Amino acid sequence: MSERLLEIKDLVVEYHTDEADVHALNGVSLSLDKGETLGLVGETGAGKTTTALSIMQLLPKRIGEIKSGEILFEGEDLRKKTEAQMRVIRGESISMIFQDPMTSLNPVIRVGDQILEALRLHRPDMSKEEQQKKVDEMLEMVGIPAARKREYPHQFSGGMKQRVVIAIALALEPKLLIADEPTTALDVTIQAQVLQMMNDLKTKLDTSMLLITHDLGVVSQTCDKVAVMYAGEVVEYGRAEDIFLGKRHHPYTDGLFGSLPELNSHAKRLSPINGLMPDPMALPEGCKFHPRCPHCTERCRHEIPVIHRDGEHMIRCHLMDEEVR
Amino acid sequence: MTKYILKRLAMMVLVVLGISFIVFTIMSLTPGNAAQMILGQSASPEQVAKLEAELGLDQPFFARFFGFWKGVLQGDFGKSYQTKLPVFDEILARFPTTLKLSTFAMLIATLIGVPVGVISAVRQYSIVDGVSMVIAMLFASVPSFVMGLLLQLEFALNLRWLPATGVASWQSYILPAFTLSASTMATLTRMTRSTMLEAIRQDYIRTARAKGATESSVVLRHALRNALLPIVTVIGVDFGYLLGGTVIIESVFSLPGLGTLMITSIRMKDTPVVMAAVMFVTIAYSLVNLAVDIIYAFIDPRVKSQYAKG
Repeated sequence: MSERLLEIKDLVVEYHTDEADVHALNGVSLSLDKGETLGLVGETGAGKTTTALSIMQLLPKRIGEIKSGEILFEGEDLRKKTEAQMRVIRGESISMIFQDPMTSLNPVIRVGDQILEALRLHRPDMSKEEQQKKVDEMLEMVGIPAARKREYPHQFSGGMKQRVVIAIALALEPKLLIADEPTTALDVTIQAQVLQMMNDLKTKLDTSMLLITHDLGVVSQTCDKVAVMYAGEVVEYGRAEDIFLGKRHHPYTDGLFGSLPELNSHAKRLSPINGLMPDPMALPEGCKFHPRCPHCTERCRHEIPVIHRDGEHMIRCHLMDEEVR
Repeated sequence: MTKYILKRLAMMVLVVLGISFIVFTIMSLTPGNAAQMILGQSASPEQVAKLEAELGLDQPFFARFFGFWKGVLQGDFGKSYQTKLPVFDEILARFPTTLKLSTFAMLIATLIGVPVGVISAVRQYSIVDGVSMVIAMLFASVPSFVMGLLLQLEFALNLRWLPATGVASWQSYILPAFTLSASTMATLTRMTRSTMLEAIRQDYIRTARAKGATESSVVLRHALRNALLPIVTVIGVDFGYLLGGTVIIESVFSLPGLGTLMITSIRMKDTPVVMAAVMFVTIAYSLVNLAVDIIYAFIDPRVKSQYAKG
């Protein structure tokens, strides 16, 4: 198999607020190989963005804290890096696309200069002309005429802004691109375009991607591997085939698929997962999904389930115990 | 942009016209008589009537008002009832003091207030932040005459570092300018801190960090420029206000500024001086505000495109 690029082991992250400690991540383990796309799926509040910010070491200062775990990028633990070392990695090796293109560009700086900034920081050896040429090239690559680099973000539409954000993220041809719900704020037609473009660029630049989304359709189109997150844990992890075509799943994954509308069925109502994501300040005992689980047993209420492996496919659920046996 | 500026200048003419009318009305309606003031209480009614006729005070209100404007349009603001000197010369003689004082005060306020505000925001809840917020609170709440007197006592009387009064040298401006800057400095510090705190929380700051930008570039290049609009507003408004002269500081430090001139003229019912001084201040204030609005356009391109729409 190909080389391992990113490996997260037992990552625990807490947010300290005035009221209480929020348990955002409770032992997340993930891995991503070179050239692959890993989809991170789950409801709002499952800890997807926290995972991404932990990799970037950009958790909100004083509030967010990585309690334990390892984040290995090319074999090196990012947690052990100094701030100066992280600055070199950010943008250069790992870059990130944020959720809302409307607010992720600086409104008072020309879009060209915002792309240029990344080059100035990480490619000081390039001449000014070369840098400008690269900016033009990046804009053209994401489908924006280079002449528009002198314009400001407010002169661009949402989809165009997201293209600029992507151009910034890819300007240095990073090894890992973290895309945090890159299409959520865009309308459906633009979503497809942007995704297609990201996929093409990813292949062209040989970048690995961590795609955070709650859109399973997007995952099925783009991802090689999928991690399903719930309440700060990865409850199921596997190749896309395992998740989309496999027979055995975590009840939460089943629930996610069950809540998708199907065009060819005549059902009048969707079947959502009942209940809400548990309060991360007071997580339930045992399996964190048990209050909403249709197959909940007495054991689920008290005992934290272990991970069951079947090749690369992993499921964290007690139900798998019997089946494996 | 040019169209916008021209429009603003045209509006300024209307503002000056309106203000001149209001002030003229107030001067006419308030009790007291300029001729009586000049001649004193012992003057006979005949003497007063004679002086009134000389000064044109016996004419109807509108005749006097239009007479005043006729003079202004010919570049003549009239002569002071009191000194008989041309009003314009008197104001020009006093304005440099006020201008120097307010510019100096604004420089102190900006050069201390903004950096301290930025540091307080970046190091929120640190000791530096705590101390500067307490000092800011103190500066904002101590009345300027108290602060002026305290500074005189310490730096002029005790330490003998600086002159207490007058405008003999540039050192004379230090104490009054500092006194004058205190409340603006306090406002600026707190304003900068809160707008910076807001700017730092924005998504584009996270984008900048994700690019690998250094902390200083994130703070100065990305956050401060976005936080600048309200800061510039405060600087502009306070500067315009100071240009009108500051009666209290001028009297504490015995400075010959516009403020004292205006107060004495109002007391003496010296309408030509009051009118000219008020119009002068109005124009200065409006110009500063126009300048602020033009600076907005250079800070924020979104504002610029608003102006372009007209």
